[in-house]
Amino acid sequence: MSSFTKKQFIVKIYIKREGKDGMKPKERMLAAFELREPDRIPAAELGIEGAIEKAIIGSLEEVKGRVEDGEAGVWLDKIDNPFWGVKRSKQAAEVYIRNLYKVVKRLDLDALVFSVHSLMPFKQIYIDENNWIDEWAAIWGKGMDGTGNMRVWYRGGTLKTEEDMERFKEDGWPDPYELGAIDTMVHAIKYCQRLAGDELMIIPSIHDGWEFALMARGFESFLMDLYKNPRLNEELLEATTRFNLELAKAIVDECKVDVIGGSDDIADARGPYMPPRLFYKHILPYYKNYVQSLKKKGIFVMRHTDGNILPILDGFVEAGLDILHPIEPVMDIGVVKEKYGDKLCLCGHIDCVQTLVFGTPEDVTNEVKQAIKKAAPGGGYILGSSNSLHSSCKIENILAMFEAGKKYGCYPIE
Amino acid sequence: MLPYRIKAKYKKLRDREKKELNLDEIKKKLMESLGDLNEEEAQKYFNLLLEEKVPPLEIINTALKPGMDIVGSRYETGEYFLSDLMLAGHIMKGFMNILTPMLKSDASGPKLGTVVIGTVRGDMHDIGKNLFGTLLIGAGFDVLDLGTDVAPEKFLDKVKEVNAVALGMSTLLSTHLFEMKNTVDLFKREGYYDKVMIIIGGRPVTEEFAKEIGATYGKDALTGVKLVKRHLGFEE
Repeated sequence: MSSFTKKQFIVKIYIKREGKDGMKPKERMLAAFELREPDRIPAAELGIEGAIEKAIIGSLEEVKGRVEDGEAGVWLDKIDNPFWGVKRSKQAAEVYIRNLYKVVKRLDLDALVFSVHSLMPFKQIYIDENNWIDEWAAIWGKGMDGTGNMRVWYRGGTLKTEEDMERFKEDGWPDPYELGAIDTMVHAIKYCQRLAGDELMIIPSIHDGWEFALMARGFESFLMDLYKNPRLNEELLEATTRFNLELAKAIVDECKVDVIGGSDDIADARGPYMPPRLFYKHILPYYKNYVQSLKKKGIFVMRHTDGNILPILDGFVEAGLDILHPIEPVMDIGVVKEKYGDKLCLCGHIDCVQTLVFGTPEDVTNEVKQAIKKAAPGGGYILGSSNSLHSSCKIENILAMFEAGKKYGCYPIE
Repeated sequence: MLPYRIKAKYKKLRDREKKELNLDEIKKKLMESLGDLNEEEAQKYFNLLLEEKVPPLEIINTALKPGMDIVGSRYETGEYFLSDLMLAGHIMKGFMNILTPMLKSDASGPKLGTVVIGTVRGDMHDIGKNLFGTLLIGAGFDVLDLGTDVAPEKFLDKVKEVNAVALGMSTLLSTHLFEMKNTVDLFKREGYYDKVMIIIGGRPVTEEFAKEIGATYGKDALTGVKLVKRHLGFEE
């Protein structure tokens, strides 16, 4: 962790806030979504790990007492995301949001993005002390990572075969209402809106169906059945998409949000997990249905996926996607801008695998300048890391990133 | 069990095919169908070669290896994707499961040896590591997969225990690169560094980092397998 002291940090923040900005953060984000030029490029992060939150605001508010059958209060100190792996309550959700809000304000970001899924009290069947199966048959485990932070890890799927799936279906597909997820989720978003809705863009982030399906079956089973038994995957994708669409619709109807985010990785550094022809045939139709159903409600749709998705980006655009995150440096953001700049708002790109971790603030500043030069002209660019502010990013680099955004990101951009 | 009539029909077809194609052509067909990821065809020609008692090593060297080379180059050029590579690995794994026992009973066969693989301590990510394992098996190695969250001491113990020819380590997290260094350092301290090839891979791993800690850099699973084979003198 960085040697940056709290005192130095507060001074820096003070200096940062001196600028004369014409737009409210929310307006700035909206302009970017609509591919208009704001006063300056907005900034947002889709994920900020607990260790970083703590370094930025000094200490985190803890959940008091036991949270139902979880121990969020005990965990909070160590886990990167305190609400993973414990049964969540409305109270826990509020604490989580309050902490995040403080961090967002300190960093002077323009949006409050939070993973709604991590707030919802979904089903958890513990198979031993540290591992459980979730409502969509994926196995998760908690444990310390090498830096002493508690993490939650995906451990594999349980729907390996057709028989597994038949057995799983016997009780009917999971139902978000039955699971009691929607009530907590709507409560959390409304709380978020009361806290920051006037000033910040609130972006609830969920899933669209892809990752649930992939994780339920496990990578190998899912990807091999794209060739051998695609019908099985499709049946599952249809069910996971329906489930998430119901969640998303409930959010939109109850909370009147402007945008829904989604986090569903479909690529690694080299390219999509599967050949484009299989993506277009067996996966895209479900995503398209998801996006189109939401857009009918007049909102923006945002999607996060790791990796290089250039070979299938046409499909996302065809589906009607509005905002793409995080355009990892394995893709040239200039190329993405040139090809899709009139259709997609781009968010992210500052390298959190190398530069934010091992680089200097100067390296970060140079990278931000490059990203602005390539992606900001004409509007439609939101500054941020190439995935998340994870615990190994240096605090001084994080600060340098957002400072550079303000310094070099004012419109008109040459 | 297939009805007799159908079986007879298949046999007739097979006989005709065998007559029409000489062995070299069958090998070529196997190579091509593996390269094209046509599992059904590949299985058919593989079976034909087995029926004709073509030695396992010959099947590997003249059909399977060149077939995997086609897959590799198509992956390199971006024509193939991760799932294609996985599929190729699966087809190969199936073939090698049949050929390996035959090779072992044949004293003249090559001994590629055992590769120990695992994700470093504190990290649970395993897609890349699993693919590396599948491709290694496909290439004819024995693989001891220690799974995820593997401590340096465990890597060393297992390498000693199975007398491994290579050790492969993986991580997806920048924060956990130091565990690769810890492991390499442990091998150096224990005098085992020169006895085994150490290859590392994963998202945050760079060539410079690998050089710095004294390991070989595997850009991706496929390159990794090539490097291990080259290091052991099984490939140019």
